[in-house]
Order: sequence, then C-alpha cells, then structure tokens
Amino acid sequence: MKNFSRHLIKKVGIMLLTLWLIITCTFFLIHSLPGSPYVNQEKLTPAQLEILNRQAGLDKPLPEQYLIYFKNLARGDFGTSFQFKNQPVTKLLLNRVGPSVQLGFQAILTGTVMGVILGMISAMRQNTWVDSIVTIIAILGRSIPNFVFAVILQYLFAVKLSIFPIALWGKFSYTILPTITLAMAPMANSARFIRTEMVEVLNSDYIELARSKGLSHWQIACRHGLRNSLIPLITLLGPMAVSLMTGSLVVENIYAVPGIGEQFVKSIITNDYPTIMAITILYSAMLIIILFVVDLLYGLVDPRIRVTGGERLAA
Amino acid sequence: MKSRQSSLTIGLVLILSLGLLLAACGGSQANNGSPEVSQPSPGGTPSSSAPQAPATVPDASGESSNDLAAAQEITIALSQELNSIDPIVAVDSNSSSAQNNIYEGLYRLDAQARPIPAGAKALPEISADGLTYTIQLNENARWSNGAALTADDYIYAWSRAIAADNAAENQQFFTYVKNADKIISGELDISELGVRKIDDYTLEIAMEKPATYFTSVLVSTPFFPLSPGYVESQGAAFGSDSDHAIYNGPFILTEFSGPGIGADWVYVKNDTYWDKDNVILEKINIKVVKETGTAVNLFSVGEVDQIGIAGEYAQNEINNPAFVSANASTLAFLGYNHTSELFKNKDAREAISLLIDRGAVATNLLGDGSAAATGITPYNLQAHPVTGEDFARTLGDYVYTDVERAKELWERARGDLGITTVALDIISFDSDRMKTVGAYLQGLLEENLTGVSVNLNITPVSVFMENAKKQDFSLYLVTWGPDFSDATSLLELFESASGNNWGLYSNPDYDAALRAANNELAIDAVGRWDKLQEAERIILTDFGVSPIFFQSTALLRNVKLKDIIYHTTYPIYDYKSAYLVN
Repeated sequence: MKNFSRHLIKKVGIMLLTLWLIITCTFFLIHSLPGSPYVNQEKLTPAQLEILNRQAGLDKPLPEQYLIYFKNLARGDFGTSFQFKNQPVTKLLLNRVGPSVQLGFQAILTGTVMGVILGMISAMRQNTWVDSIVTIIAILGRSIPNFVFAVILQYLFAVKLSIFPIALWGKFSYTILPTITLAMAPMANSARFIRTEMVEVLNSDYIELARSKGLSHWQIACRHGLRNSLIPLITLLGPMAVSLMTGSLVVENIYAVPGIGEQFVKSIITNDYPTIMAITILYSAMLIIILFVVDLLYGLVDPRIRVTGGERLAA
Repeated sequence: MKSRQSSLTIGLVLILSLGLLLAACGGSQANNGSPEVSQPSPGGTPSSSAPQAPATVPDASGESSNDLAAAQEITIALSQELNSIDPIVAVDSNSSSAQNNIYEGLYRLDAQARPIPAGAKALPEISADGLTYTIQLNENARWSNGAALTADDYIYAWSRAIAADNAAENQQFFTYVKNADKIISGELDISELGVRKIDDYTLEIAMEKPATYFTSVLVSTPFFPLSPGYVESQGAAFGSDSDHAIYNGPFILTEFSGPGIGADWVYVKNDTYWDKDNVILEKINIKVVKETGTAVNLFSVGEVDQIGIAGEYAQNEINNPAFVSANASTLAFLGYNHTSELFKNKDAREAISLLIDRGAVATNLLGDGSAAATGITPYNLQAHPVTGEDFARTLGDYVYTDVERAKELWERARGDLGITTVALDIISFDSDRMKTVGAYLQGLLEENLTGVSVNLNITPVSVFMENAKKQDFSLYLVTWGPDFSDATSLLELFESASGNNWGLYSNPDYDAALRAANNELAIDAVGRWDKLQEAERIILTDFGVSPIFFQSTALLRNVKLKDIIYHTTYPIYDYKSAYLVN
C-alpha cells in the first residue's frame, strides 16, 4: 500500500509536470505566430495597435506575459477572448463544451458496444462470410472520413426520409445522426481490435479447458473470451474518448452543433491566445487524467500488471 | 524563407495543440465564414440585386397589406456567431448588422445608401465651413425600458468609445470628430471631445476637418447611443447576453446567451420603437449554421427562410427563383509591389492587368453573382450629389483585356529591364474565392508571359498581413470592403501615406487629387465628386493596382420574404422594412 501511494504521488507529479510543459510550449509557440489577435487588424493604424496591445498586455516582454498568465491561471482566470468581445474564456468554454462532451460520450458508448458485438460475431464465425462482412464494415468505418458519413446520413435520414432533424441543436433526436457519425470510428476500431484479441484468446489453453468443462460456444465467448479481450481495449478507448469529447470540427459544422470543435480551430487561425491556451489545457488535462485512470484500471482489472516494488508508467 | 518559418511555427502549434482533435477532422471545408481581409463576412442577408426596388413598407391600409402573411415570423441561418452586442466593439459584419436591428443611431441608410433620419429628427444642419454639425434629436425615440433618449446618451456612448481604457478596434471612425485622435493618443482629456449638448434634444458636433460624407459615417455602430445609467449599473455584465442590454432599434434581442456562446438568438419587434408602425416582422429567429451544404438542406425543406451560399452552391442555384445576388460591394484586386524593379516598370504592370479576363473570372470561374470590376469603386457605393448617378457607372472604361498588347508590353518590359526569367510571388489569404482566382492568375501569367513562374502563397489572414506589411511579395490579391458610402473609403487605400498601401504605390498626382477632394473641396459636393473620379482615373491609367471583380454575396431567400435592405457598407443588412407575403 505504501508503495502504491508513493507511486500515486509520483504519478500526479509527473502529470502536473507534463501539463506545465504543454502550457509553456503552447504559450511561447502561439505568441510566435505572425499577426495580431484583432479582428480587423488590416485596418488598424500602428498607433491603434499600440494602444490595443497595451490594453491587452501584449506590449510586455513575453516572459513577463508568461508569468502574468500563470498568476491568473492560478486564480482560475483563463483570460478574455479576443474574438468574442469581453467574453471570459472560462464562460465561453463551459457553455460550449456540453454538446461536444455529450456527443462524444454517446458516440464512444454506441461505437464500442456495436464494435464489441461485431468483433465478437466476427471472431466466433472466423473466416466465414459473416467475418468478411464485419471486416469490410470495419475497414470502411475506419477509412471513410466522418464528414462523408455525416453528409450521407443527413441526406438520407433527414432530407429524404425525414426521420431525424437535418441539423441544429435541441431535443435528443438532434443528437442521433451526429452520434452515429462519430460512432463509426470507435466502432470500426473496437470491432477490429476485439476480433484480433478474441481469436487469440479463443486459441489459448484455458479455453480448451472451458470447452472440456462442457460450456457452450457462446458461453465461452462471453465469459472467457470477451472478458479477456476487453482489458486491452481500455487503453484504446481512453484517448479515443478524449478526442471525441473535445469536439469534431467537421461533424459539429455539418450538424450545426454548438460545440467547441470549431472554436478551437478558429481561435488558432485568429490568434485568439487565451482561447487557444484554455482549450489546449482542457484537452491535455482530460487526456492526462484519462491516461492515468486507464493506467489504474488496467492494474485493477489485470493482476499481472499491478504495481509491485517497481512501477509501470503509462505511455 | 520567412513564410516557410511562419508556416513551420504554425505547423508546430497545430501539431502540439490540435493533436487528435484535428486528426478526426479530415477535409474541413473552408466555409464562407473564413476570414477575408476586411470582407464583410457573408452568410449575411443582403437583398435583391440591382436594380433595387425602393424598400417601401406596404401601407397598412394599402392594397399590398392584403398580401401580408398572418404570421410575420422568419428564420434566418447565419454562418457566424454573434461576436458582440456592445456597439463600441462591433467590428465584424454579423455584429454590426445585428446591432443595427436592435439599436439605432442618428441615421439609418435607405435602400440607396443615403442617410435618413432615425435617432435624429432631420439631416444635420451643417455650417458653411463644414466644421459644425447641429443635429436635432427625435423626441419620440425611447429605450426599451421606456426611458427617453437624449443628447446625453450620445455623448456618453461616444466618450465611452474613445476612452483609453475602452480602446477598441473601431476608434478610427471618430477621427472626423474634433480632438478625438488626440484623446485616443492620450494628449487630451475626454472632455475635450468635439461634441456637446445644446439642450436635451440638440447635439452639436465640431469637426476636425470638413467631410461631406460624415453623415454616412454616423450610421456606423460606434456612433450608436447608450444609456449611461443603464450601462454603468450593469458594469462588466453589460452586453454579456440579451438580458443585459436595453435597446432602441426596431427589434429587441432575446434568447441570446452571450458572445460566442449563443448559437441561436431571436429578434422580437420592439414595442417602444418610435417608428414601430412601419415594422412588420414580429419575430426573427437566427440559427448559426456554418456548413453551406447543411444550410441548403435546411432551406430546401423550408426550415429556414434565408441562407448565405457561396462557390459551387451559388453556381448550382443561380437559376433558382430563391437565388438572390446582393449588390457587388467588395473590391477584389491585384496589387503590385512598387518597390520591386519589375513593377516600377509600368509596362510590366499594364501587361498583367491586360491579361485578366474579368468577365470570365466573375461569370465562369466564380459564377456566384460577382461582377467584373470596372474600377476601384464598386457599384452603388456613392451617388452623384445632383444627378444621383452611380460613381462606378459614370467613371468610364479604364479596365479592359487585350492579351496581344499584354504580351507586347511584357516583351518590352523584359527588354528594358534586361531580364530573361522572373519568379513571381502572389500572396493571398485563405478563402475559396481567393484560391480560385489565385490559381487562375498563376496559370494565366505562366501561360502568357515569357519567362514567368508564379508561386501562389495562400495563408491565414494573420500570416498574409505579416508578409504584406513587409512587402514580402511580388503581387498581392485581396478583397477590400468600404467602411462608409464614399469612394474615399477605397481610394484612400492607395495614398502614399496609407498604412494599408502594402504595395507602396506612390503617385503625387493621385495623392494631390485625393487631398483636394477631401480638403479644399470637402464641402463642394460636385467638385469633390469630380476630383474623386479624377483620382480613380489616375490610378487606373497608371495601373497602380488592377481591380479584378466586385464580390457579391449570394443567398437563397424564401420568395415570400420581401424588402430586406442590403447595404454596400456596414451594417450590411436591415430587417426593419422586411415582411412576409402569402
């Protein structure tokens, strides 16, 4: 137990260090981008630019700006957006991250469940036409970009069949098409992954034992095969979940979802420093925490990887 | 080399910060909301193409009222969020159009871009020297909380706009008002601003120098009034959402959850508006839809009444009865680097200009309602003070194509300069239209001019600006929208001293003509018009820049939705007079 808490403290320390490194690198890199964050910068005179810079604190030397930024950050102040006038970045993000997280969560859930089922069927019916079809689905799901899915689904189910809304944000029904679109990649990934894992597991010795105990084909698959294959899937799901929950520019645009995907990309193009920083911090923090949780879960689920005297670090 | 460094930095940042987020994005389609140099971001709601019918509201008792739809509610899709509802920081087309519908300044623009009284009772009384404007205020004007609108509200708003701690991107609008520049730079106290209250309903403006077009400038959002009591009571919360503002325009804003947050909002008819009898629409729902394809789908099923379209979508829909092409108001032009030996040579500039087939660019390449440029000043920007004729249409024929002559001129320039091959850098900023036209120019120059190779460098606007300001280019391709309804707004761009004269074009005759128009002749409307035309002819015959096309905004609009006014300058569109028919 002592080992474990020491491991935990060290782990948290490394996490904070990682976050600090990311913040620092991003801070200096974005400030080295050409241009200014003002909307109509091409029409500003040098004198005006000077006043605006002074007001925004952009006239100070970069290291000083960096210290100020950190001081504010420690107070939980992420600054004010340039692009959206007088809007605190914290409020901006808190209000827009909801739809992105909801869609990401729904997508990862749907995608993984579907993927696991498909992967299982595929492994159980290895080298049959069922297997081939699942493989084809998985390859298509992985290789077709999601904006193609988005456009096709929208045209088919919303414009032609009028089953779901075309776009915009409202009731649950508005989330279905974007969820399906975003679920394609996790579905394909987990289907392929589960198939490979299960085929391997099903050929292990202990499966032979289970079989000799008289368990049915499907019982073996669920109790032994699936459980053992799910463990490595966790590592795959963590980062995927983060990337889905932080919003997808294209899917959010096509379905007119008020998420943060587009805001991030636009903030970079417009040099909206505080917004870039805040989204980067949000994204990295989520990723770091999820990786940490995955690491812990991994140890809990699989005793073979549990921390002993030494330690194991997540990649 | 510089541009490579910048793109390297950008690349690093993108990789570091975007990571997986972008990996999932595939091919993002630059929407019409992408930043364009001073281009009023489209997706807005300009109105029908020229010739434009006067936007008269059907008389309540007149015949046309029988056609009015029972439910006066419309839904409009925009491609951008609302950036701000604080007038002093409205710098984009969306914000300024929104604010023009919920607030109102001294004047509004009518369908012909002429200022008409709104917050003022009549057009200003201008002193003989053009230096003093006396404006009687409209005593019926009210705030949405019922309070009267007085001279104090204007003085407060203007002082707030130029106060040092409010330094906003809009301050240049105040340069006409006496002492404004000195206050902004901190030399004078805010109380020295050249505006004073004669009585509650009379305002006097002292000018820094005469400018006949100042009344048109007064329609801009930074000149909108604000209620000092209300704004001060809200503190930092002012304008943070629709509940933290009061309105004096034809509509009031509701259901807006804040700049950048709200992806939809609603305008509701303002019952305290002085001219409410001439406002017919009861409710306007705005939805932010960034993807043109999605907007087209929503429009096709009737969920929205108006959308902005561009590129291929516009080309496909051009025969749709719902297709509307707004006045082509923004100039797209090719600028030369006048510090380079090559483009100091007039033959070289003329050769390039004569190659460009502007009609083909507008109709075949863009095909979205844009028009071939006939000069620098777009159509419907300025009308003759006496005859009412359009500036652009009376200028004469100075922009034309002659490929054979272009080739001759090019050979002559090559001979004179003693060059055999030349590599040209065309810089432009990231937008669909600029990419299309840039690629066309690249092909055109390489094909027709001996020894020319063209490198087309299209970057985000901030990178473009960096290169442009350092003259790190041979040619630059940009769009530029006028700030106010006067040719000066575009022509001053190429004055020797202009900070935005990136090609460093310098012609004493041109400068003198412009100076005469805006100084000696500042209050002689006709003499001024002639000088402005002279200036434009000087730069066109000197091939100082080469206009290419007048960019229009294309949209699909419910054929039953009438009389949305479109302006060539900010605020782009006005719903005050709009209505639905059966």
